[in-house]
Amino acid sequence: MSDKIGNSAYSFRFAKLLLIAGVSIILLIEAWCGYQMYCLSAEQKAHKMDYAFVNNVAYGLFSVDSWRDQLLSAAKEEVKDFRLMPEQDAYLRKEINEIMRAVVDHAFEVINREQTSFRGKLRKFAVKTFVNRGKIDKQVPDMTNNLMKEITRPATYRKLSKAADTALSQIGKAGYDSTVAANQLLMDSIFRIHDVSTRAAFEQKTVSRLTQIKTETYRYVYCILGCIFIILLLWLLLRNQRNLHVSLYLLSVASAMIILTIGLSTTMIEIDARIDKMELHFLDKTISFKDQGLFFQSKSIIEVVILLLKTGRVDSQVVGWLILVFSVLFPFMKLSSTAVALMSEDKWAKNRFIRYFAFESGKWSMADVMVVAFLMTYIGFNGIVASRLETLNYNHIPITSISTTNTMVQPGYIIFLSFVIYGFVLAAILKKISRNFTQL
Amino acid sequence: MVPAKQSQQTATSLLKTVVVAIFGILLITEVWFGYQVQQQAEARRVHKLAYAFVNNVSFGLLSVDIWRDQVVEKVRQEMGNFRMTNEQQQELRTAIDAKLQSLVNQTFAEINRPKKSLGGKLKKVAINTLVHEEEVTKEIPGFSKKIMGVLTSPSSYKRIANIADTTIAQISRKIYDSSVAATTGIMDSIYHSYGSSDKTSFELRNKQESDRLTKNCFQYLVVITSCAALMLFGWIIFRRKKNLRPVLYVFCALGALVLLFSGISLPTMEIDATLATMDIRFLNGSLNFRNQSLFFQSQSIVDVIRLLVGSGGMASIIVGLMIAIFCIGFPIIILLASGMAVINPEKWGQNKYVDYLGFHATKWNMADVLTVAILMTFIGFNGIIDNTLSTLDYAEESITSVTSNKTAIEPGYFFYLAFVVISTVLVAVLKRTRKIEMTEQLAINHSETLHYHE
Repeated sequence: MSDKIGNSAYSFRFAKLLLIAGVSIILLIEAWCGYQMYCLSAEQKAHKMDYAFVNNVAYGLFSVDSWRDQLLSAAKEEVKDFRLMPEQDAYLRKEINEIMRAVVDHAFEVINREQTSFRGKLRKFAVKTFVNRGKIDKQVPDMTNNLMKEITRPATYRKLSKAADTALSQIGKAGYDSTVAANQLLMDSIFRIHDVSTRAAFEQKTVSRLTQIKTETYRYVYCILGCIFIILLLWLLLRNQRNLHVSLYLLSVASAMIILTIGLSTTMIEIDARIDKMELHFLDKTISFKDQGLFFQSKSIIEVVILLLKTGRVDSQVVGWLILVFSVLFPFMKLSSTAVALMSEDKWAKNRFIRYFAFESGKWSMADVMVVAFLMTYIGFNGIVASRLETLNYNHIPITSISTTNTMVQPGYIIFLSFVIYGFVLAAILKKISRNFTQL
Repeated sequence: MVPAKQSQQTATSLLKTVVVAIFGILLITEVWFGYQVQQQAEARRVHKLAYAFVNNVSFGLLSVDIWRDQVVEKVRQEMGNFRMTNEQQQELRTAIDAKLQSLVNQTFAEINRPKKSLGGKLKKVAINTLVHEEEVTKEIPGFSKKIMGVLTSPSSYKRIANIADTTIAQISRKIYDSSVAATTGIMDSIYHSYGSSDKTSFELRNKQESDRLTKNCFQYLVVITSCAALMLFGWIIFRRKKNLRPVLYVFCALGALVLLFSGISLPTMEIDATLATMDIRFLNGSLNFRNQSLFFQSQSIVDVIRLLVGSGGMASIIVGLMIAIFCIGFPIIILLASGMAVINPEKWGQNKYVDYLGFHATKWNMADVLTVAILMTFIGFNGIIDNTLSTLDYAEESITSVTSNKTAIEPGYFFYLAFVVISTVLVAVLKRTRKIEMTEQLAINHSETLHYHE
C-alpha cells in the first residue's frame, strides 16, 4: 500500500516536472519569437521611415526643384514653337504703324520749322519741291509691312527663341544648383546606408526587404499563436488532472505576460497618408508625380502612450494614462492577482478587489483594441473622393487625392488581441479550477 | 368591506391603465422621433459628405486648373496695369537714341562712300550741301521723344497688354489637369441636385440644410432621451407593484432598445480637418484658397463593424465580430433575459441561464468599454489632428494659412451613452428589487415556519 502511494507520488512528481519542463520550452520559444518580432518590427520601421523620407512630398510634388526642370523644358519647347497669332500680328502692326507715322510727322515738323540759316531755307524749299507728303504717308503701311516681314522671318524667331532659351536657363540657376546638390547629398547618404547608388535600386531593395520582413514576422506571429494553442490544448488534455492545475495555471500566466510584453512593444499601427498620383498637362507635356508621402507614423502601444503624455494637453494625457491603465496596469494586475488567488485559496480569493481584477477587469483591455479599430476604420478607409467617384462610375480618372489606404494594423495588434482573448479564456479556466478547488 | 375593496381595486386598475397609457405614449413618441432622427441624420450625412466632396482639397489646392486660373487672372491684371517706370522709360529712351544715332551714322557713311556714277556724286554733293550730320544728330532726341510719346500712350499700353493677354490665354489653354472634364461633370451634377448652378449657392443651401438637420438631431436626442429617462423614473417608482412591473419593464426595455438602435446606426464621431484659408503671395496680390477639406469622416458603430469585418484582415474581422457581439449582442441579450425573468418569474426567473445572462453577465457586456473607447479615440484623434494641422499653419510674408479642426462627437454617441446608462440602471434596480423581495420572502417563510411551529 505504502509502496503504491510512494509510487504514485513519484509518478506525480515526474509528470509535474515533465509538464514544467515542456511548458518552459514553449515559453522560451514564445519569448524568442517575441524578441525576433521586436527586432523585425524595429527594422521594418527603419526601412519604412527611410522610404517615406525619400518619397516625401517635400522632395517631389512640393519641391520647386523637381518642378523646375519639367517646367523649363516644356517652356523651352514652347518658345521654340512660338509664332505670332494673327490677332497679335495685327496689334504689333498697328503699333509699328503708329510709330512710323509719328516719326514722319516729326520729320516734317522739323523741316517746316522757321529756318534762319540760308541752308535751312534752301532745304525746306527743296523738300517742299521734291517730296510729296501724301506720297510718304501712303508709303508708311508698306514700310510697316516690310518691317513685319523682317520680324516674322524664321531666322528672327530662331534668334528670339535662342535668347529666351538662355534667359530661361539662367532662371534661379545659382540657388537651384546649391539646393539640388544638398538634396542629392542627403539622398546619397541614405542610399549608401542601404548599400545602393540609385533611387530605383533603393526602392526596389527596400520593397523586397519589407515583403521579406512581413513574411518572417507573420511566421513568428503564427509560432506564438501556436504556442498559445498548445497550452490551451494541454488544459484540455489535463482537465481532469487536478493536481497539475496550479503549475499549469502559473505557467499559463507567465506565457500571457510574455505575450502581453510582445504585444505592447512591437508596432501595432501604421498610419500612412500620401498623394497617390498627380497628373497634369503643361504646354504639350504631361507632368506626373507618383506616391508622394505626406505623413507616416508607425507606433507600438507604449510609443502611443509616450506620444500622448508628451503632447502637453491635459485631455490627451488623460487618454495616455487610460491606455496605460487598460493595457499595462490592468492586465498585469489581473494576471498577478489570479496567481495570488490561486496560490492562497481562501485568504485572498474572497477579496473583492482581487476578484474584480481576476474576473472582471479583462474586458477593459478591449478598450485599447477598440480604439485602434476605430482609428483604423476612420483613417484607413478615408476614401471620400475615391468612393464617391466609384459610385458615380468615374473610377479611372486621374484625380489628385490624399489617400490613407496604406494605413494598416501590424502584427503587434494581432498579438495584443490574442493576449486579450487568451486572458478571457484563462479567467474562465480559473473560475472552473478554483471552483474545483473549493469543492475539494 | 367588499365595496371598499372593490373601489380600491377599481382605483388600482385605473392607476394601472393610466400608467400604462402614459408609458405607451412615451414609447410611441420615442419610436416616432427615433424614426425621424434616423431619416434626418442620414440626410444630414449626405449633405455633409457632398460638402466635403465638393470642397475637397483634390479639387482646390491640389488641382492644377484652380492654380492656373488664379495665376492667369493675376498675371492678366498685372498686364492691364502695366506702366513703365521713369527709370524704365529713361532706359528705353537711351536705347532708342542709340539706335537712331547708329541709323544716322550708317546713312551718312552710305552717302559719303566714294561714288563712281555721276548721279551718285551729284546726289552726295546735294545732300552734303543741304544736310549736315551734326544737324541731324541734334534732332535725334526730338525723334526719340516722339516715339516714346507713342509707346507710352494709353492706347499703346492697351495694345501691348492685348498681345501679352492673348499669349497668356494661348499658353493657359495648354495647361490643365488630366481630370478636368470628369470633375466638371461631377460637380455640375452635384450642384444640380441642390437646384444650384454654382458653388456659392450650393454651399449656402447645403450649409443651411445641414445646420437645420443638426439642430433637429440634437433636439430629437433630447426628446428621446427624456422619454426613456421618464419611463425609467416611472419604473423605479412602481418597481414594487407586482402587477405593473412586467409591462412597465417591457416598455422601458423597448425604450432603451430605441436608444441602442439610434446609437449604433447614427454617426458617433465626425472628423473634419480643413484648411480654412491659405494665401500665397504672387506678384502684387495673392493666390487665395478657401475652405479646403483635407479630411472628413463620419461613421456609426455599425459602419465601423461593417468596415472591420469587410476589411479582410483576420485581426480586424475578429475585432469587428467582438464589437458586434459584446457591444450590441450582449446588451440586448441582457435586456431580453432580465425581461424574461420579470415577465414569468416562476418559470424563467428560476432558470439558471436566464438568471446568469440577465443579472451576472456584466463581464461580457462591453457597452461601457465601447463608450470609453470612443471617447478615447475622439480625444486622441483631436490631439493627432491638432498636432498635424499645426504644421500647416504658416504666418510668413510669402504664405499665410489658417487650419481648422472641427472634430466633434455626434448624436449617435450620446444615444449609445444614454442607452448604456439607462439599461444599466434598469437592470441594476431590477436586480436589487429581486434581491430585496427574495430576502423578504425568506423572512416571511421563516416567520411562517416559526408560526407553524408555535
